[in-house]
Amino acid sequence: MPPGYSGRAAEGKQIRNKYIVLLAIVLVLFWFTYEIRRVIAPFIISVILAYLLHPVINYYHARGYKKGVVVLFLSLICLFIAVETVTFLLPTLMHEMRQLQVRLPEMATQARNLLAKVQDHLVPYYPSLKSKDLPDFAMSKINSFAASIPSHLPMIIGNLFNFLSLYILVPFVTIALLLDADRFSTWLFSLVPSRHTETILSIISEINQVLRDFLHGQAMRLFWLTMITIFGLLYLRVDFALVFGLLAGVFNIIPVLGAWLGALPPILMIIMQGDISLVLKLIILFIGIQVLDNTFISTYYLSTSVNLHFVLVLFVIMVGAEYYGLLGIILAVPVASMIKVVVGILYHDYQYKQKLILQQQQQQISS
Amino acid sequence: MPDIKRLFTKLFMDQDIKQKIEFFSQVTILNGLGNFDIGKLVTDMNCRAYDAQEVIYGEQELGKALFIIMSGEVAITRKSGLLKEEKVIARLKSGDFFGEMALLEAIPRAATAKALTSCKICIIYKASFDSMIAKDPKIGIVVFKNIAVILASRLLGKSGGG
Repeated sequence: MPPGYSGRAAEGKQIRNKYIVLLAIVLVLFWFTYEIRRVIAPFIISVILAYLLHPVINYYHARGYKKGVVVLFLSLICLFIAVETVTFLLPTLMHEMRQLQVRLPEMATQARNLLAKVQDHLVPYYPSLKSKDLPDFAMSKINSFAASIPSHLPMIIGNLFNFLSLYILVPFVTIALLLDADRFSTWLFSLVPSRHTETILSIISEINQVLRDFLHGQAMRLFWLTMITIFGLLYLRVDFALVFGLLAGVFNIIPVLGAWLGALPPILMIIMQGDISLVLKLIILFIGIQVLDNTFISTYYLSTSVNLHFVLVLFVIMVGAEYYGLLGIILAVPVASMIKVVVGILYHDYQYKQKLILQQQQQQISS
Repeated sequence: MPDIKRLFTKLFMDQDIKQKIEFFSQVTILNGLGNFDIGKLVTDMNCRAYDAQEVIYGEQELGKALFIIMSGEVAITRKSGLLKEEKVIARLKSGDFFGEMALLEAIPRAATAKALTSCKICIIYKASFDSMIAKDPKIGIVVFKNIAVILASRLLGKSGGG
């Protein structure tokens, strides 16, 4: 055995052990977030808001303004925008919702007639359908589902986060994060052993960049998609354009499937109304929006994000939905991107260290 | 009017960041950047204190950041000769910087950096610097030009040419 060989082997083992410990810490963190998933939602929303507002704070701070003053002004502006948006949007939204409620029985009858027509067309090919009352069966299912929504709604909203935490906790936590994030990171920074400062903090810095780019890109993408959908629906004179546009915007948070889920409610409504030409126009509109999103909007705003394979995106969304519900669906992709970045950096580091050990061993042998 | 200006400055302006911007505008690698660009770098960097004799990074470690000394002294050492003796190749003080090659590429460190006295050092990470220059390439051009000038002068110094 060449001199120093056992020492190098021990060093290699030590590096491997370090990565195993790191993996164990990550697993414990995942387990912990899973355990506290019911209370974590407002904090995650605050972190996202802080990420979105941080560049504005930094812009003015870099110009020499006090951070506290900028945060105060920004909070007042956000409050003003929120109040104005609610006072402007809420009456229109309430009006559209009331209209939708009034027109539901009429739409149900239209749907029933449509299903009856479909059944009449199908009976010559599938005679067994004649004995079944397809419209009544479908309508009873739809009715029971619709009746269950109001009773489930409070539970759905309550499960996500409670009203109080959203309106009180989120702004306070966001402001605290904006004001003290730097102090916290400096404190965290001082805890890292000096020798590992560069590696550990460059990992944190890269994760920070990935999250920042992803959240900013998504926020801008969702804004433009919502606007285009609302104006597209208004142009086609589709009723409840605002409700359906906002819904499409919210659904677009879910990668890959979201765009089509958002298109379903207005298309279904128009099918029930029996206006086939408008259905075709709507399908063209949503395909157009999807093409615009894939070719321009996502490419422009999410170009710096980590690329994940389509199958992996679906897989992580399903895992997120299974363990964390709606929050899991929304956060699955950024978390997966974050993991990919960390694994990439650690793997690169590990490979480099192994190469270094091998080189040193070869030098020992040759000398 | 001067009273109103003084009151405005006292109420709204951050003296700490102004001092930092002034300090960093004197650092060679940031020469040519405007106050706002330096401000952007300052709000993005981390600073920490090192005790005397603490190793900041070791030779052959993967470089991922640029270090700027705010206070204290740092020694840059390299192992050389058959016995691999550690030799001090540079002593750096407040306003000096080291590890600048990491901003270009994550490559192994050519030397070890060790704090000689207790010092305060600010760190600019390659990841955040890359993101910044993607949005504002002007900063990248200025900094990379400065690095090129520094490297050229080092080469000329080594070869003894003028």
